Amino acid sequence: MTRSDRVASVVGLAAIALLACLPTRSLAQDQPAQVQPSADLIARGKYLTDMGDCVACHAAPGYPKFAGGQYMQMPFGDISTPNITPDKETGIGNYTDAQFIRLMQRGIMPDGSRIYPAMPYPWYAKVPKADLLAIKAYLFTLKPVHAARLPNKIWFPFTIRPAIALWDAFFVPGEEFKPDPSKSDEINRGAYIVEGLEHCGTCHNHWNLLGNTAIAGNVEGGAITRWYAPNLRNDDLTGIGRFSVDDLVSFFKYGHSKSMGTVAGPMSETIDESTMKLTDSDLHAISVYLKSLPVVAAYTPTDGRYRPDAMAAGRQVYLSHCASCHQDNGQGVSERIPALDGNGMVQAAGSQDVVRVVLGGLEARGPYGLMPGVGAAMSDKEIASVSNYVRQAWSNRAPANTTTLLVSLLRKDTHTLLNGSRPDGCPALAENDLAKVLDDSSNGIGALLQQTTEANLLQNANTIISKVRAVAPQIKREDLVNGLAIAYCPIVEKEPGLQESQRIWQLTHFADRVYVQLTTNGAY
Amino acid sequence: MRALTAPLELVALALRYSLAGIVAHPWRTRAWVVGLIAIALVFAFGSTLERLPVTSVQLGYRGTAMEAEYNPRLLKPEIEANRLLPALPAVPDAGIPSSKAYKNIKVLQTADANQFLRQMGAFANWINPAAGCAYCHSLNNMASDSLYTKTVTRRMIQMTREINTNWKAHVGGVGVTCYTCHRGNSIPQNVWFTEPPPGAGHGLAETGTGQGSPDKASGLTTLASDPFTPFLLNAMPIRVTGVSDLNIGNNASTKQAEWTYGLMMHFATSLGVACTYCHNTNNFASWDQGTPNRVPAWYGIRMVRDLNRNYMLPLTNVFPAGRKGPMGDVAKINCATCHQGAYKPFYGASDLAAYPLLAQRNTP
Repeated sequence: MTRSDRVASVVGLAAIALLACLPTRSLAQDQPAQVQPSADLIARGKYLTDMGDCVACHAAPGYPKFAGGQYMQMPFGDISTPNITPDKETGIGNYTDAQFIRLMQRGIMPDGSRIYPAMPYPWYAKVPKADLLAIKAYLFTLKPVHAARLPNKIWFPFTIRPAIALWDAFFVPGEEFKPDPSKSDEINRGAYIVEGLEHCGTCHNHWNLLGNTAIAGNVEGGAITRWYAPNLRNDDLTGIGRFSVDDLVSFFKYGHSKSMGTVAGPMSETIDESTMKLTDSDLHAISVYLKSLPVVAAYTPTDGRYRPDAMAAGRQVYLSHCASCHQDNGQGVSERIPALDGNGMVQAAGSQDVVRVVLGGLEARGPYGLMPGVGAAMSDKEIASVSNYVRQAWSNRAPANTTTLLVSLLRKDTHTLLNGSRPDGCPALAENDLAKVLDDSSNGIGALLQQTTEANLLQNANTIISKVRAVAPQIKREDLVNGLAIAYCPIVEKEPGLQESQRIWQLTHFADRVYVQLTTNGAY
Repeated sequence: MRALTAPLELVALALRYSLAGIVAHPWRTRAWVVGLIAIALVFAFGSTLERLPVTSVQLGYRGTAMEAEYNPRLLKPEIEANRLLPALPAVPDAGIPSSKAYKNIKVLQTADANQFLRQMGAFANWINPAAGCAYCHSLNNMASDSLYTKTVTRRMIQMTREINTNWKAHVGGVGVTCYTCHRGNSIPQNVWFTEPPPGAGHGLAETGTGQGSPDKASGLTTLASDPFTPFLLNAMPIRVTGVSDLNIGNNASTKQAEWTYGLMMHFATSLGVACTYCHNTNNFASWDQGTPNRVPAWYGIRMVRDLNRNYMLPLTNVFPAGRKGPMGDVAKINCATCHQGAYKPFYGASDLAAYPLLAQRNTP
């Protein structure tokens, strides 16, 4: 740092200090501690980093993990996530322990400026310093990546960062998590995870813009980035009351369970990147803790408040687009198609999840099949009407609050492999066993996939699967279904003479065929 | 077709409410003023008066006004909306019949296994592309008949073959596929159900015989409702005019005449044509003075009746409750089911040759 740089930074920081009335420290004054952390500490740090789900935000397509580069959609604009690898220029390589803790617990950068609460520091404020330092020790073992932060896209007046201090004063808890001696150790462990690193309330709190405090509520469900995070309280109808602790553990571990169906939306990332990596005892603790919370109903069940004629119209749409898989009685097919009757997501107070799944479909997960983006062929009115129908049919009593406006808003925002709305083109196939099989030209699988059209996809899918199974029997069923769909995407896109809708359905038919062939093992 | 009915509905509605005002308060000047302004506005903006241009296609002798009129501006979107899907590419034979390759094949058992799969792919595209195979097949066991849709589809394949082989008098060599009616909808967009018996007082002017209320089937006229049950399900005579000069022995009622008119209105709206497409308005009944188009139309009526009776009615108990009409009857076929506003479905384009399995005769 040159002398003039230093002068400039001191002047700049002094200005920020005046605005924010906060103490400031220059980076240059603190040097990172040069203590070699133990392997145990690093392993614990890695576990806690997974628990904190840091990588969900601090990664983006085309960026290495933890190098940031993702835009988080907030109500006041888009915030880019920074690089948290130990790169000294663009990452956190120069952070001291004290700076790291202050950032994690108070949301204050080493230069004294405030960060936006897109970063869940109101939750990390409850995490003991020793745990945060373990995370830091782990992050510092990562390979430094040089990746400068992308510019934020935030609207005035939210660009006045010192104002965040006011928000912090109200909505950031003042002290670290303290176990409640009247509760069991397991409940306290669950509370520590849920209220701390796992930061469930960021989405599941009712007023999730109000941080991690009593007024924000505690996991009784809230809207987030145009999805709806359902009520996690133990209410039978509107919460997790119908699901056992084992159901919840299985859901956190695999993203599906017998009575809960499959996960959708941002929670699927949370499961893949975070809860899936936690120990069974921690998942058990989370579930027991959630079940121990006082029961709160997300809404008053609305039996029969929906107009009968609208219900009949919704049923027509249901019969046309949903009933063949989810069945007329809403029970689905055991271990193939999730039930909609009593489904937690369908029953959530907000109907965003139903609409988004109808619009975008779902990839295969565990034993459950892939859901087509059926909404691509349905009008906004049809989707609103069928969403209200499934939320009121059978034993479901959720408010019939889906409007065509909501559907049209969500349609603009729902881009998936399966609904043909892909502004960034076909997604890239992950570097995995399937990619290797498809790249290997000696087995002819890639070539066969290239020649697959709607006319021969039923027989080609069979051949492709038996060939893949012969060379790579270890690939999991859902990875094969999802992976082959991704691999087939660019081929369908290039096929000449097809209408856009035909491309969407051809891809879906292929993926469905792969799934059916794998589940029935050709037994027909 | 849809473009036409929207302004018509508006006309019917506005007329009804403006007349209602006058009828309710005939002594108030305001009711008359408002009512007459509304009626004038309806005729100025809401009626079927169309912006030019108009082209006409001659159908009969010159000077007889036997012509079909088209507005090219309005025809363009109709032509766009009535396009075939590109035919699926051909596939080589597998060399074994589908019944050897798969279980529980009941209709297409002699088809080559690969041609059978190709045809299945086409069904998915035609009927319910989003649900795909799952619309008819249980994902646990494709051979299972657990879904009602599979039972219906089998019968519909037989129906398609029946049309293509035994009703050439109506469909000619053009023929039909599932897509002719379905167009990607699990239930074709134009089907009909028997309507509940009319009750007096439903509408402002509705009578106990179903007259006096705008009826979609007869082009939103106030003719007697439901002209389909008598003619396209039952075989009531369509002709109501007498055949002798003094009209001896003709006891056809006004309601019967209105049903016939209603059916004719349905023919016209379903095909996007006027009366003169088949009839010479000099003498509607005369076969000699009409156009040859009347012959396939005559067979068409018989065909639809046959299909409704022998293919749709027997499926009544197969369909679940939500799929049936207000009287618990099965969805039935009329001209609009296939024609969808075009004088020939898809304006005469055909892809039946690409799907030979549907052009085969049913095995008894």
